[in-house]
Amino acid sequence: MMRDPGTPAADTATAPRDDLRMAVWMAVVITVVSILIAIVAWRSTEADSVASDLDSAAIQQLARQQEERGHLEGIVAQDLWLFPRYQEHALAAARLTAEADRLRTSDPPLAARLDVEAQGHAVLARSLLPFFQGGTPAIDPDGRSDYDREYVLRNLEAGSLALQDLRPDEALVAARQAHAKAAALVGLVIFFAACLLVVSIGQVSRSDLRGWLAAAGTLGAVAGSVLLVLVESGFLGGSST
Amino acid sequence: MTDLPDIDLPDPDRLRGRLSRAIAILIGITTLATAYVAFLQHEAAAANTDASLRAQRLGIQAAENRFVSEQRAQVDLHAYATAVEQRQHAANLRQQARALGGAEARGLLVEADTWTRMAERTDEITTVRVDAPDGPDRDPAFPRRFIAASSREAIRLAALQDAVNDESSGWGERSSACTAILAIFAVALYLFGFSLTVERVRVRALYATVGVALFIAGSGWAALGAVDPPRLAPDEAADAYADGRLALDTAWDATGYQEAYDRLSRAIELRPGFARAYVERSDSAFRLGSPQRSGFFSISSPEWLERSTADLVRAHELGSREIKVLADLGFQRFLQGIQARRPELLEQSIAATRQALALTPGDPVVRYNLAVALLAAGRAGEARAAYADAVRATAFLDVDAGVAREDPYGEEAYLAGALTDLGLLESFRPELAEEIAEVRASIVTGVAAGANPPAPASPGASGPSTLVVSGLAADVFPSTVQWRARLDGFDPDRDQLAVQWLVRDPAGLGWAVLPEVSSLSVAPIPNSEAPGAFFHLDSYTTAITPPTCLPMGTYRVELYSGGRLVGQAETASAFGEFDALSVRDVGVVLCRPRGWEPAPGRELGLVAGSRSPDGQEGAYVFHVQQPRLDEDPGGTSLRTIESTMAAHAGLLPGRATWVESSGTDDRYFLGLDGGRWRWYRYDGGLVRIGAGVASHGGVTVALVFGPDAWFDGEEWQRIVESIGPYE
Repeated sequence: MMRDPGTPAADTATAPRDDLRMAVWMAVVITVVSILIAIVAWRSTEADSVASDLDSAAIQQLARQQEERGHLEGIVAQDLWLFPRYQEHALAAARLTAEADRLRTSDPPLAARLDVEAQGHAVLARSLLPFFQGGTPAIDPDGRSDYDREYVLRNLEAGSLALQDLRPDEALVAARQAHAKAAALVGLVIFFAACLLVVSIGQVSRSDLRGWLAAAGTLGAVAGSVLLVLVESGFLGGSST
Repeated sequence: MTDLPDIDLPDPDRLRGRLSRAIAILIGITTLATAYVAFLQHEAAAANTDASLRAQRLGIQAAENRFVSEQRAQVDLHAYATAVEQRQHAANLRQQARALGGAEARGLLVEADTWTRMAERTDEITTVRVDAPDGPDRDPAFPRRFIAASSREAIRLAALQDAVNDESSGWGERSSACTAILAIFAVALYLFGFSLTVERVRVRALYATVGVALFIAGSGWAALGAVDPPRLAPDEAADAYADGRLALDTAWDATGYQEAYDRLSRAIELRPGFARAYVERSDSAFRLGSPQRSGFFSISSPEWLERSTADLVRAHELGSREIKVLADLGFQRFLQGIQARRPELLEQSIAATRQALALTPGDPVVRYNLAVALLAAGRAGEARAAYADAVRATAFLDVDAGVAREDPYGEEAYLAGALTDLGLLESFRPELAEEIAEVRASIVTGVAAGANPPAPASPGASGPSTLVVSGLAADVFPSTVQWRARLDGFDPDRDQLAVQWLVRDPAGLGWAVLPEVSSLSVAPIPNSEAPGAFFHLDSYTTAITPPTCLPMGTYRVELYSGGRLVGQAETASAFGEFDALSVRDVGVVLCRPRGWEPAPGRELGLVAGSRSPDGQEGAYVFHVQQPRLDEDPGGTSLRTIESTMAAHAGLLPGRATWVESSGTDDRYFLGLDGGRWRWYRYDGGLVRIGAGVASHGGVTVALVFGPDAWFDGEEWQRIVESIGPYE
């Protein structure tokens, strides 16, 4: 039969190869996205676990902080409980000595007794000093003593390494950031699942939209990967843990 | 048309059928595996929740226990303090009866007995026992050990909580892993299922292969997790840790630190991942190798430094990011860096110290550590700026708010640590000596100025300092240090004198500043016998808790004024190992040879003593309450010496009589009025006794006794020189 020389013959060999390439490409995308889903799911559960640990740590730190503050306040309270007794003896020693001096010429026997009593009170005051735990009271020559509660407490808190290491507010902030990261990762799982669905539909579809679906799924996978890197490095959705 | 080559392919229908069957089997296996992992995940989640709740419960128990135990200990302590007061009342009344005599003496003695019985009744309501290891007779730092012991259970519960936290984290990780494995299996199942819908064999095989790979990966992960489940550390680890912590908190000598080290080692042996135990053991190791006994520790032997650093590194690896870990690691890297001349260790030091500083910007210790590391690393400009920040942090509790620290002893302690570190740097890097000297003078001046830097000189001021120090000499006794010097041009209104005492241990590990006898502002005492000469005496034994005598070593005193070092002198101690005997109720402290025991005849408020194990040598101190008499204090002292020797003759090995031929010395005695000294003799031995009168009239007496030959040596003189007032 004679062929119309103006009409080229149809190239039936190239159409099935393009179709095969598209199918393989979509299969690869499906495989990669599936693996990414598994990875992101693992990372999100890990982030959730870290967030949970940080939640517990924050609560425990708060409790220990209150406990430590209570302990230091207790030390000061015990000192203040003891202080009036110390003050009593210190003042008595000074006052009795002064009185003895006043009576020394007019009533020597009474002055002698007051002398000895004053010395006794001085020893009593001294005997109580070891029981002060926060700070030792200062005493002036007139026997007046002072216990600066705020100063002692401030110094105890400044010297407490345990208190300095307890930062529950920071732990709570870190926990919140970890939760945010976990939520972002869960969102990514859903996003990748959507990409997977799109590419899967494209894989089984025979319509002209097949190519578009493949392209959409591929772009989505790339965008999701970029978002994953940003979330893991802390630029998005919480700290990098 | 071209002919395609003949390829002998299997029947597509047969291929699809075989593959499909295989995939179907894989789907079944994967589903079963998923169910098992779901069970494991549930088990892990339940265990995690249980552990988390146990940890919270332990935390609450620890807090409650600490509160209750400490309250009980404080109540016991106050009851004991009341008993001490009551006994002292009784002792005072007996002294009054002795001093006043007469008819009322009997009444006073009856009242004294009443107070004594009250004290005995009060003893019944307290758990403090005088001769217990944490009691006043055996704990020089009483009531530190007694109070610390009350927190042991709380420490143990906190350690248990830490272990349970670890267990909870382990279960949490396992639960997360199971969830991830479930996700992997879900993806594998999806791929298996999807592969059944695909026509092309190659594509189907690809999906199936990836699915199998994911299944194998998930199964392997699950198997690993099942083999080694999270385990709770034995409770004994918490017990050992609590004991080690207590030992460390109450230690003051090598014995105590060794006990702490051993117990913490046991805790680590039982629980190798116990970060906290590594931190505490690191501390005890450093202190074990250190000749220092107070202040901020900077010096340690190379062996113990290495062990300490290894523990800190391990704690850091286990996730500990506490201030102490970062700061100590930073400082120890500095020590290693200068000892081994390794710049990379100095850089590590700077990095770790900066991390610590970020957590505690107001801590002077960390700031000084950073400054000295920068100086060692050759970054002089940064070092100077860091030292300026450190000086500000020393003077101010809150630099930004301008809240002054107002704690001269604390500020001196920070300065002492900084100067000790500079001394260490100088010993390993002598080429930096000039720079270090400038920095030293600068920070001493800065800290001495404190929160109130000196105002510019006003027109009426006496002009710049003309102080010239010459003839500076250092004297060291077992309990006190003294410097003597000519201070020409010294104006107490213009010249602020700062004094730093340093000691180098016999092993030569380094010069350590003694903050207890160093001061940022000293008022030297004029020597009445030599115009222009001054001296200053500082008691070490009464300034340190627990009271301790000065260690053996070489001592150096440095005087600073006007921003510069104006004098320094060295001397070596020659007095041997002494321990402190501190008797607060008598108001005296002295240093006695190591190994001496409490002497008989103790009477509260009146007499206390110590003697050699064979009883041949000893020392006693007395405080006699008596009226202030209108007579020469020297006469009062002598009368009291005579009455004391008569009343307490039984305390000596033999009856002693005054050696008249040796006369009476009117020497210094505790800075009291009427200081007098005499020699007494008994069969085979001598007594050296001194007394002085306090401003309120009471008389303090001290004596040493021993065989004649003992007085040929210097030990008795060291004891006498060490006697000091104890307020």
